Amino acid sequence: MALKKVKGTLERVLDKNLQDLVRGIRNHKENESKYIAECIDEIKQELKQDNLAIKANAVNKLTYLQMLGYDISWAAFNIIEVMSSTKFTFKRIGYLAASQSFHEETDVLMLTTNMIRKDMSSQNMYDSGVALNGLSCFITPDLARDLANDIMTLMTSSRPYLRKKAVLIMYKVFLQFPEALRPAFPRLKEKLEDPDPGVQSAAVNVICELARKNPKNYLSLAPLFFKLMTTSTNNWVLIKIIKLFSALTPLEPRLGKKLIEPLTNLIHSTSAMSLLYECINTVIAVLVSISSGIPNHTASIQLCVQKLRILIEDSDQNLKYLGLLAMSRILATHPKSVQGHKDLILQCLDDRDESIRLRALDLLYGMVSKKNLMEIVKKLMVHMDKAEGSHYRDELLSKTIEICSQSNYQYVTNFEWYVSILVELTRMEGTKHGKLIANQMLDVAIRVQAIRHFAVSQMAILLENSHLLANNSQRNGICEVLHAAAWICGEFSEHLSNPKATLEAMLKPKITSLPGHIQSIFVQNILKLYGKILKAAEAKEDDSLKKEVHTLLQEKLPVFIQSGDLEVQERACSILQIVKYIMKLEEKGAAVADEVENLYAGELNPVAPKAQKKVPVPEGLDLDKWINEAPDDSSDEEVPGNTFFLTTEDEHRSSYQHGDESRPTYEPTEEELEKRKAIRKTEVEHNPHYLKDDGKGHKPRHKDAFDAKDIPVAEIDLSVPLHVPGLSSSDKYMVLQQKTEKAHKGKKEKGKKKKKKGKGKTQAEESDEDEVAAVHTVSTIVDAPEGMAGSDHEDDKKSGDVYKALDINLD
Amino acid sequence: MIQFILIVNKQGRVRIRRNYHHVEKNEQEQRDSAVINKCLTRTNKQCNYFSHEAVTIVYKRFTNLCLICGVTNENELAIQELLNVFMDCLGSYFQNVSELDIVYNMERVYMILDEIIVNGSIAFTSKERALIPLQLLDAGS
Repeated sequence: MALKKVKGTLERVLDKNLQDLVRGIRNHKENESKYIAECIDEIKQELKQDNLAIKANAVNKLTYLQMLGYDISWAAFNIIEVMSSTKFTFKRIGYLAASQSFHEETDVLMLTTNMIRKDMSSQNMYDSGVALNGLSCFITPDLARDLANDIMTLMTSSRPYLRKKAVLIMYKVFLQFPEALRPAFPRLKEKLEDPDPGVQSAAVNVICELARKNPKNYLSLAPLFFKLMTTSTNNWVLIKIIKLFSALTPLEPRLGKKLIEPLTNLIHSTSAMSLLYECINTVIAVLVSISSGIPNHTASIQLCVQKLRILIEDSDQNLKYLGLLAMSRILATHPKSVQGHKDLILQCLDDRDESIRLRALDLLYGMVSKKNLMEIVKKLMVHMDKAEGSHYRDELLSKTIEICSQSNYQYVTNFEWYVSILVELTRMEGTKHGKLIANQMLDVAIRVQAIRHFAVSQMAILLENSHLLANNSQRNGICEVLHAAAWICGEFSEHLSNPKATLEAMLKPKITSLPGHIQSIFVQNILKLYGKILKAAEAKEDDSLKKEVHTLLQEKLPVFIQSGDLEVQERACSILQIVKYIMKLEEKGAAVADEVENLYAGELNPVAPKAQKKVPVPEGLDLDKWINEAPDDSSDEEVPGNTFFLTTEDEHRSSYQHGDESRPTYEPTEEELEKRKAIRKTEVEHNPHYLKDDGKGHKPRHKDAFDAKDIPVAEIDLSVPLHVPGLSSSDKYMVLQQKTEKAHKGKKEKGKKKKKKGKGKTQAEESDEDEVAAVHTVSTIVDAPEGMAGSDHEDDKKSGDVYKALDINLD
Repeated sequence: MIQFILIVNKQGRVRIRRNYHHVEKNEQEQRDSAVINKCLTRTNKQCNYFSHEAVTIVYKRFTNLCLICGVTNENELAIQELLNVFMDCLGSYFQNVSELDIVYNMERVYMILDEIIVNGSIAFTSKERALIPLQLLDAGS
């Protein structure tokens, strides 16, 4: 017994304290985890001892280990033991460990209620302080309910140190136990007028947080805050109050009007950048809420924009970033005021910091006009070339397309230019927006009728160079553009100058290396082109052409039949059969080109996005009714399972053998063709997905080779574009536009001089904009079920259940 | 409201971590490593804030330490100032604070932190006020 005691004491002498632990870990860098495992064992031993000092030491070490990432929840009970010690240092250690590792799920927390209550009412200020601090990290609803009263009494304690902490803790209490808000609220109000400024600012903080979630409860306090704002000189408090006001103004426009005056004063007088920024933000929020313009508002906006300009011009990156952020908020409601600073924003695009560049990009979105769209896009393309990160490049690309396609292409005056931009974009290496570009092309080709001829000729050239693009078979890569290209060529093949050459290009063996869905588009469009050629050949009575085309198709299509993708196989098989059948008919002398063409007659329009939802349910149909009787769940569960499996196996096998065996017997008749056409038409009308796919024939896009294995990658310098004969460059359109602008300007000189002096530059620009006429019109017809009127906006439900509970009426 | 505050060294090891909002251990680790990575790879030329999953991260680099703070709905410039104040306090308490000081005196650092930030809001910003409890503690022990 005595020996044990001696042994125990000896061991205690050799205990490590925190410093030793840290030193040990640093010394054992190679086998750190093993060393730490040993230490944890030692700690477990120490925790079994009775001596509180030893336990506290152990818990201290555990806190350090927890920070390194080790889990210490097994020691929760021991931590509580240490927390209950009377000595301040040990108590402190216990609370620290608790605040780091306890959370709502910890079971032992219910043991702590009494202890915390005792600590909070202790004479020693620092004991209660420590308890309050620690409590905030692990408070649970039960603890909150039990301790709410105690904390409220502390709010009226004689020591400001405690009052302050208590006030700040109340917020956490409210979150966990919302019913405490009602009784505590009058006390909180008192604290706002507390003599100690620290307590005052704490109260402001808490009310600010609460008000952000449920502003209408705190409107009654507005006059009080107003007084505080005008009397306080502490910047931190001012910032909080101003933030609070910006949360309140949406509800009370009169408040906003009253605020403008003191805020503008503050803006003029303060030298603190943070306060300035906050004031500007609130002024913007106020002006957003006031709908109609009052004369002096333009003055305030001008003031804000001025100050923001100073921020943006500053060399400090932080101020630039914040300035741009605030500008984009102004842009949402007063775009005209911002437009004057376009040059500054364009400069920011050249900044070294990526986040600043991204902000500037966002701003540009709202600042384009018909005149400057071309130069802005050109600048963006140059940036894309120089951009280092592919993420940034992708951002640029998607933003460019967004800017151009805003509000039904409102700002694009010359669609030929836009199509050539899209073509140049396809040269962008390694982007993941191939689908986006493809969608744009299809959109433009479908909706802008006048441009189809041009678009088709460009696509045809690209198809011929498709072997360059086909190398990249990654999903959503640039080869997606082939999607668009093939479809456009097929659908609008009347504009093709040399359909036969395009058909040959589509049948090249390289195509089989493309992803399945693209190949299927190709196959479908081969048939369309074939119909076209056949019709032309029949009109000219050119038999040899027909024979050439037939042999070509018969040679090349079988390659697709062997493809791994089921869709491709199926389509290739059907088309091959149709071709064979048509050949037979041709030999008999019948002219079938018309029927083939009729397969694809009709104009395809975009389908409205919510069309599917708007399809009215026919009368007498109850969608919720069971179709069959509800199945018996009781017996025979085994048997259905088996048969289920059997049938799918059969189906599987049959579809694989489908191609070989059943194909030769399949011969479409005239009725079949008609039926197919009808089915296809109804499918098109009712299937929104059909349009999103937007095109069965996508042209293969020519991509410059960037397969790193085979061909060395060369950076394409957009300023000297790779000259593929026939592909138009976008620069010539810019030059063209500038020339027409100059011609217009000459005529307008006289007009401008007659304008009044007061009008700013923006007004002149506006009238100029009206002059730039759109070269092509965009069709806005959409397919939708009858009777659908506009699209609904579904309300998005805000999820903030925690804060919803705080939304109680306090009057 | 301040969501969390971290002090890391140049290699990315966390020295001080304080969460004001409970997060699961896995999430926390992920978030920490992502945020630390981003902060350490940014150059001097870039601005001191960025956003990460709906939280704005404000960081401040000192010689071999980096103070990172995640906030929502707060004035970024004010938070930068706060980080300065915190560093100031540490500096005057430890006399030229270095990373080892923080490591060996972890509890003291937490005490200072708890005086300055309480429950995610700024409590005291005066250096002298924040150091009083510590001075008492030192005098007593």
